Amino acid sequence: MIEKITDALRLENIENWIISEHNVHSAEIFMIKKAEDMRRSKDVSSVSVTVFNDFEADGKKMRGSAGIIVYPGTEAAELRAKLRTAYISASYVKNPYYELPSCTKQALAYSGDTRDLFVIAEEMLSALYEPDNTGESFINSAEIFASRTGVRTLTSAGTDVSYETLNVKGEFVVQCRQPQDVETYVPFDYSSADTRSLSELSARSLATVRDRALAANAPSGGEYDVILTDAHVETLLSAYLDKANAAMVFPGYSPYKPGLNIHSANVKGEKLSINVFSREPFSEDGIPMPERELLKDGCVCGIYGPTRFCRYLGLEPTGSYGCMNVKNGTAAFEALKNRKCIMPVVFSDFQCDALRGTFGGEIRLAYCFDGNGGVSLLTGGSINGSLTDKQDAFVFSKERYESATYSGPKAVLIPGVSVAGA
Amino acid sequence: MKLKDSEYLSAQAALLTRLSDELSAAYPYASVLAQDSVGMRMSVSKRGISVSEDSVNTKRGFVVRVHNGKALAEYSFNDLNEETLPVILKNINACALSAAGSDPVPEDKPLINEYSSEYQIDPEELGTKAVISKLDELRENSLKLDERLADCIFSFSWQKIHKAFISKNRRLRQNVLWTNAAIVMLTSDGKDMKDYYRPFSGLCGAELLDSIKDSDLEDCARVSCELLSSEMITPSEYECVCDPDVTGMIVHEAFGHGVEMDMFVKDRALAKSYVGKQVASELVTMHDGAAAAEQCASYLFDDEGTQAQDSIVIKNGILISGYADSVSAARLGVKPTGNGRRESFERKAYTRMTNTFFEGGNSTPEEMIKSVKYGFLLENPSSGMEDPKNWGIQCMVNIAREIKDGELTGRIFSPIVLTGYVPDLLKSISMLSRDVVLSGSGYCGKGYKEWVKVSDGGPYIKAHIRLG
Repeated sequence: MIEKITDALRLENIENWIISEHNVHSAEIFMIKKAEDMRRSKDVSSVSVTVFNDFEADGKKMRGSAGIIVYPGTEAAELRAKLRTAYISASYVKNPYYELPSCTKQALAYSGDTRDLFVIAEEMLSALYEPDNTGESFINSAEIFASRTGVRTLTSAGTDVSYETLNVKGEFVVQCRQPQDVETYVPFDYSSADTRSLSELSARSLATVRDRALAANAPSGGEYDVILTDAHVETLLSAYLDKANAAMVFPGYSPYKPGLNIHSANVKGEKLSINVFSREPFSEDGIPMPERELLKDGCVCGIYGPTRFCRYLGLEPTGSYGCMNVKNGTAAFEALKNRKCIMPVVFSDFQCDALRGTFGGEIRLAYCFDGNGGVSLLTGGSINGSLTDKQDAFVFSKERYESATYSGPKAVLIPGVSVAGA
Repeated sequence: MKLKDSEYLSAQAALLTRLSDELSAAYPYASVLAQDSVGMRMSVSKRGISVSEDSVNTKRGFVVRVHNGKALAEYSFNDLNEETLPVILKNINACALSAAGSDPVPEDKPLINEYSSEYQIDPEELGTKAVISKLDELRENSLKLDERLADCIFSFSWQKIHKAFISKNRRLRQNVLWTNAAIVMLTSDGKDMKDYYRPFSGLCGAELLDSIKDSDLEDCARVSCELLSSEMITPSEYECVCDPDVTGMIVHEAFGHGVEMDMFVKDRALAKSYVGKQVASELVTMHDGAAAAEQCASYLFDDEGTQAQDSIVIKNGILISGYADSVSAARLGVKPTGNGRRESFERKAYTRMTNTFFEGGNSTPEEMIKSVKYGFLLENPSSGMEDPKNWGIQCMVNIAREIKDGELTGRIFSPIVLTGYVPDLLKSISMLSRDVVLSGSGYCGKGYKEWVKVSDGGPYIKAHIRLG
């Protein structure tokens, strides 16, 4: 399709453009209990095309853009009409002029798993079900999507980069019927057929849902020291990634700027140190994406994001990062729990809003520590707090948690969080 | 005017029929769903102007479903022509060969029908220039309303969804146009931002833009500035009046997901054991269906070729029935309800909601507020998460307005988490307002994926709700 599109761009006299082709192949297996529910496969292609139109308005140089998506089977006349309409649309997009990224040429050879995607999906399925052997708790249902995606990005500036990725993601639901019938939803996402991690996640989830079945009481309302763990730490800290995105900084939605100290003078916990990295080697406009420093001891090291906003801020474009490598962690995980506190491990949907600076969620399972070695199980109620108000007091565990999008402390202690309880 | 057929799908009709015929000769059941969806999203804000097609909704491709005598298998693809047809057939056969199970062969009763939604102004013909001018004008007018506004974001999107369904006995076509618009106003206290959101939606064309009035801009500006002095609520259970948007979130997130009958098949829904029993106040009657209302989730047939209907889910507080995709319905021995929906041709069909709402009652919002000794008026929902197994509630709303002795005091609290047990909340509903309002501005996920367009709503309701 790429040649067809570049030909059409030339015929329409469109000089500035970005083309990104995605070829996706996937094998999907759906399970109910231990029986196959359905299997699906997919072979699809698409090309996203952004066209730029340079013009003057109010005496200023402008660069408008419009994005379209092209699918196989699009006839030449239809393609040219789509591009023409997009180019005209871009002439009404009065955005100040900015330079597109400079040229990058690199074709990354795929060195990953080349096996048939159904073979990979079936192997992961076996790993998922391997710990499901006690009968006490069990996997209610599961979905596995093994996909291989080839990406090629070209720009009118001469960029031509390509790479291929493997992704195995999905979700499963674990259930425990006694003493009460409960379930827990667990998503997963790996960049390889990581059977060991999936088996471990499955085993942990089967244990957690057994605890949830035993939990009967909601916490009493009030303020608690709260420990967040694993993916919830990632969700909490992802707000910093958003706050340091050029698309948030440029319009003033975030006050972050290089050199800003996000902490107050009265830091009682640990100052934040976060690096960012990307699962994709190149941004959507072909910029290489190495790991970069985001926060060091609470100071903003860099603002990263889409080309247009980086240019407006006078920064070198980097692409938008989605993954974090968090350097913090001074306390032993067990030491964090050695106090009166609650540790919610299952929420219905834990969220952290970067714009509002708030975090919260409804508790499906929490461990309540009494500070003297006693532990009880809780379910129900919710937590709700302000990230900005609490960030000076975060204490992180030395122990680490790793996912495809996060490497960092397994746990964070947040003192004095409001809990709505029974 | 009626939305016209997709030229692309019309051009592919002969090849699709051939594909369907070849598969129907080889398998006990075969169907093809063809999709051609086009649309644009436009926005103006401090970030500038943005114009692009939406990669979730804008799709062109096909999904084939076959039953191999034992189980169903599906293959999604989007490169269909004379040359690729043999490869497509080979891939379908490969996928079907390895499918295992003991599912009944899907019903394929004869059905031929077509539908096109109506509109006054074609957004494509109206063009980018006119839409951006309108959004720009609205934004400029809004920014003048209060100097504390950090930004006013105006967006407009439209989607033309063309689908064709072909099986041995069915020939269905539909063309649906929906439009969405939104106002987001932001204020800042120097540390964090406060935001207020007002959506507009309809099964219509660009005439939707005319429904944005000056009073909407004034309301949004006023409320977003009020949020600057919002407080954190003291967690407890309160008497609450929910506006129709919050009612919609409760209907959809708290209860609606629990009666998606693919959850019954998986033994994941508590509602399964409550059919015929009281689950809500006798004042409550709930509907779902693509044919139950004219909103963004309206259509003639679902993504499995089942005709849409209006399902009564709760009648006077009694759970009558859930809604089902065709596979779940066959497994449960019930009739499918036209709720088998896919995010696109690329994805599996699940039981999904469509237009979901409570019927109205006999009160007015004013009477409902007057009746509250101490409590809150809840407005502006932001998100929610289902818990069909245990009927736990998690809904987030942006605003709780304090009510004391039947009067709004002017104090507002934000953000708010609604928690509790679904039947407790629904049984506590003691008043409903007359007018029903549906909003189709949102998308619904199954877990954290499979986004489909839905609408939800209802009247104002009064209930006891735990807030945090």
